[in-house]
Amino acid sequence: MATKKILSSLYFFIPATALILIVTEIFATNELVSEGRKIHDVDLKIETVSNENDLLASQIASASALATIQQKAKDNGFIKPANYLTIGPETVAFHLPQ
Amino acid sequence: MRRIWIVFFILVSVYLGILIRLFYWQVIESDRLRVEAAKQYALTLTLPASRGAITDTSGTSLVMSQPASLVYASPAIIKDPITFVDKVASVLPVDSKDLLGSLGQKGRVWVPVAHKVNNEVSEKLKALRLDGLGFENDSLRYYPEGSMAAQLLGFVGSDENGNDKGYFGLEGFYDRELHGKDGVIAIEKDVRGAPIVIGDTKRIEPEHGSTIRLWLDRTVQYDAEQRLREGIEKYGAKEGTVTIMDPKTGGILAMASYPSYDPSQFTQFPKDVYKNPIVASSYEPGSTFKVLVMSTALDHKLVTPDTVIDESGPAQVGEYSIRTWNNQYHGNITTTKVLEYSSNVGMVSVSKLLGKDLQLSGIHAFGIGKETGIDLEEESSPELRSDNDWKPIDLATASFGQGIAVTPIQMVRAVGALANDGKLMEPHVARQIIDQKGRVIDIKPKQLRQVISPATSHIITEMMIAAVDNGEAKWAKPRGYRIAGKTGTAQIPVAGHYDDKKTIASFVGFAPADDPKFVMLVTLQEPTSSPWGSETAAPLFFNIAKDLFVYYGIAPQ
Repeated sequence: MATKKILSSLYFFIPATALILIVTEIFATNELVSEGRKIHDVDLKIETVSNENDLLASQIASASALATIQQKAKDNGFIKPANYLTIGPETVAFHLPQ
Repeated sequence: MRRIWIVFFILVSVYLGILIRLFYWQVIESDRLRVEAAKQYALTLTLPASRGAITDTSGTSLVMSQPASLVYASPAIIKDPITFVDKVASVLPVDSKDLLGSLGQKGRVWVPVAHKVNNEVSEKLKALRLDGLGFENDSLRYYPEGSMAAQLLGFVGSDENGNDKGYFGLEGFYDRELHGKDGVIAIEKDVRGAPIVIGDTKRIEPEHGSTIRLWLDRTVQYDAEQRLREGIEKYGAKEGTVTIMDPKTGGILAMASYPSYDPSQFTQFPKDVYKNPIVASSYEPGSTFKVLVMSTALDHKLVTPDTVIDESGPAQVGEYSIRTWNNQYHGNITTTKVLEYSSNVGMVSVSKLLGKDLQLSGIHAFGIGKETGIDLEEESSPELRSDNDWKPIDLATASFGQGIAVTPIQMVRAVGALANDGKLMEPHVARQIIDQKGRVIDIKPKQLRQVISPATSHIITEMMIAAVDNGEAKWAKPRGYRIAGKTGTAQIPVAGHYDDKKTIASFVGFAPADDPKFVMLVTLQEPTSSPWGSETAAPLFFNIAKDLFVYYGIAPQ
């Protein structure tokens, strides 16, 4: 009698569980598929940011160019020194070896 | 009964017709249909590889890739082609007639408008909001230092398939390393074109081009180019070069040429300016060559710095008479004085002492007549006559650098051996290749051979110091420094004879002589202020040397 009861309830629960799983899978797959668009958008953003990085790197390189620095130095009043003074080590009669 | 049979045959015919049609679509046309179907659900995107950068020794970029756009038009969407072309032409320098013609061609779905359009211009075009104007990713070569080292770097053009390809210089030589490899991504897409995450995905990552790090120091390069320009103007020269190399490693610290060009706009310059004259053009070295012949004689112990040479008058070589450059004669002089006076007569005597075999073996040992192996695309070498074809007059004139042709890089490499204890190094521009993962490949300095002994190299160094201190160019030499060098003034051969007015003035040397930091060659073609190397190339050399002493913190002694 108890066995019959268990069997008859299984006849209900197994198909019900299968139906629930199928419906869940359909919903999950649907959600996942629509994520494809978000991923595409993120990929585009990555590309845009990467391009912006490259442009900024070019601008940094341009601002650090020697011709640019020389012009800025000139504009700020720097001039090339006419002579250089070299200060060497002092000449002494005796010093302890280092 | 008959009707039943007619109906039967009609049904069978229809059935066979369907079978044949199915066979046609499912077997014969299956491949084509499979491709068509894949186009509907498969999305293939190219993941472009960016071309590698070229940096100087400190890692500062000399060439880099910048994002750009390929601008195209879709004729099917354009309602008013004339207005479309006018608006595009207001921003881009396009041939309106050509573009209009292309848009009007039947069957065209895609028309390229411009390649490598920079970001600024692309934004202006996008702001026009023109239907039918599209943009695809492209890249543009950018030169932060402008036209610095143009002939050393080369430029990027297109090959026959429209793909980027490096030409000349480093871009040409290291094209494969710099190019990289495009990747691809193939994914399934839905009806709106969005990728299906759970679908089939195939992705091959792009391999970005490697970065090439050079021996070149951009500060030294900048200084050399500025000084060369000043020298060209001051001495009224037609062309000029400055080559600076580290004699111990063969690393090229600077290579400046005039005239030059802007590699970002190479199409606007004449093609003959693309080649780097330092590695691709030859000249007669004149008296600078004397140091090589003299060092060969010293190495074979045929002379010493104090060997006495007769310079009482012109030297006779067969029917030819060879005189000094200024027709002045000093009687008995030492070999050291031969270099100080830059005596052609003295060198002819040294050449006679050497004899043909030893002199030629010396020339070959110094690498004259052979390419140096430098990593620049367009290197070439003038050919030396075969050993059997050398006549006594040829040997005599070659002893003072006439009747023999070299490239500037051959001369620098040879004199570099004198500065490097007699060791001949292979010159190199690139120092390291760094791939996208950061793996570093060092290009190690390569010693080719021991040309002369270290002792001989020290002796010739002292003789060259004496030539600078007591020679014609002593007035220009910076005080307090030991600089080994030699002036050169070579007549230019024109149509089988030497032009008596046109010269190539040069100066080659290294400093500080006791521990050389650099070896440098300066050449000036046809200087008009004075034909002599001592009055043009030598002061230019010393001006650059003074700048280098300050830059490298080399104090006077």
